[in-house]
Amino acid sequence: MTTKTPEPAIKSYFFGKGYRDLVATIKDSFNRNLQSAGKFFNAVGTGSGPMYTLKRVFYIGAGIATFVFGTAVFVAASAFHVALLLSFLALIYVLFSLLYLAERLYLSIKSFFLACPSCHAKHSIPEYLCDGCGAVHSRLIPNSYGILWHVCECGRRLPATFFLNRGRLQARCPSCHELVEREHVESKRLFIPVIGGPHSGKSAFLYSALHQYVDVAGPALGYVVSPLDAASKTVVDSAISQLNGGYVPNKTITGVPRAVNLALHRDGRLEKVLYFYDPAGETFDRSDSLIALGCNKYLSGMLLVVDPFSIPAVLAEYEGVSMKDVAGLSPGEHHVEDIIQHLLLVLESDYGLAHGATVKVPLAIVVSKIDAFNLRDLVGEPAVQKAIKASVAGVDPAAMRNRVIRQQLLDWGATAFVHTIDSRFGEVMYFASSALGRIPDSSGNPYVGEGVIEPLSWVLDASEAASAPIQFVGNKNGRSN
Amino acid sequence: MAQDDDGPGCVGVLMVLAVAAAVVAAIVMVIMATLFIGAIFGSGVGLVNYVKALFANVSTEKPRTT
Repeated sequence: MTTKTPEPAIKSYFFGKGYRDLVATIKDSFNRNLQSAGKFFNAVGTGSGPMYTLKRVFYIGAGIATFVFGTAVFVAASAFHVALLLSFLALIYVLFSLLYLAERLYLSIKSFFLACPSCHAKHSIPEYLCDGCGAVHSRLIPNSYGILWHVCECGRRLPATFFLNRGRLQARCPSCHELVEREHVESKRLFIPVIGGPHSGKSAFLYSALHQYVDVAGPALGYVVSPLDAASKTVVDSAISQLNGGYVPNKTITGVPRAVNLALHRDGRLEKVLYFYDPAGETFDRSDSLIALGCNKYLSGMLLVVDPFSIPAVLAEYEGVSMKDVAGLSPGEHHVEDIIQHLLLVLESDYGLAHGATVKVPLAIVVSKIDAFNLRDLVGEPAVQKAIKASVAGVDPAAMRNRVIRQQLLDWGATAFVHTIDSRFGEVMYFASSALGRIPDSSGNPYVGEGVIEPLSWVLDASEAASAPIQFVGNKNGRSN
Repeated sequence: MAQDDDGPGCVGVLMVLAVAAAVVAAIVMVIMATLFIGAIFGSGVGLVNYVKALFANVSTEKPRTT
């Protein structure tokens, strides 16, 4: 249970100062009554005679009346004061609870929550900074500090609900304290990690695909695609610059790096924000690293990059052709079956996936490096076209591509991997790509990926068609957890 | 036949009782009136004191001054 620290805001009168005022008023009023009665008693004085007796009777009577009836009125007024305070407290409690529940329901329906692009933590709302003094308000919601507005200790009125444009305030992640854009909370978002072992070509694939999505595929869909923030812009611009300059994009070194965010605008309005995660391949070798990849909590879809040279049969076959060329391809060091098993174990142990249940988010499996040797002819478009020609008319090219690549993986001996995919993933599509379009060289000519946009477009479409991103797993009966 | 030596008689007794009752009633009324005036007075003083205490102690919390 977390301890709530006081907010840098002024608490609602009926939840804080009202009770201090009540106690002070009761004490003060009682003392005033005693003083008033005392004044009458003291006014009696000394003397003799009928007038003095009359005076004495009057003042003593006044003193007694003040003490007795004044105290009675004091008791009644105090009780009324307490009842009034409690009534307002109850009324405000009911009002802010109703508004809070309405807001939570609305945010839940819209799938608005904070997905920190830096530490990947998930929070229902971020912390907000006062636009007057910068004080951090960690619970800027309808509560005892105010129903619609909180008054910061500096005097600034801050909107306490989504409905009053709370998002205009600067937000920050409660976990890592990184400042986050409004779109990281209040926008339609898709969360896509790229999965694969070291040297499988994840980074090259991702940035080659993003390059084409920003320049071609996004605009073709009517979007203006741009990096959401400065950090994403730096990463994307750098990768595109490397590809255009004939350089291979840098390998990811950080275990769980910051998300790369793209904003998709149409007709000047933000339609959605894309989150891409490119963890180092070594991440998939260790459960604790995978657990740290917090985006597992809100996956929309996944891209799994399979280096064919990480499959022993493929490695052995082509090493027989040219050991040197195979070495130049930096074959992946981890069996793809191990990677997928690690991922499933972590989803089961830490992210609520029922044991043996089906992962419901769409998974695009991308066989990479098809520019090497004759792989293009085995799993690339030539292979798909050949299969289509050999089949009956009217066959769906995507279905045929799926069938050809899946069968080739089986032929290469990746049977366990294919069976795991078949049994544990509900929506799968196989693709083949060359992230750079050719074997890496030193010519300086731009690298143009081949078959990189199709898996990206498919996983985005399939993710969007699926339900809310947080409902990413299902039990054995296909019901979401 | 007249009976002149019967004492004050019924009328006299009734008159004494009436006077006594009037005196008691007057005393009770005085006491009641005194109590009533005392109650009004004491309650008024108590109410004024409570209102004064309210004005002296109730206020909204002020933002901090920088």
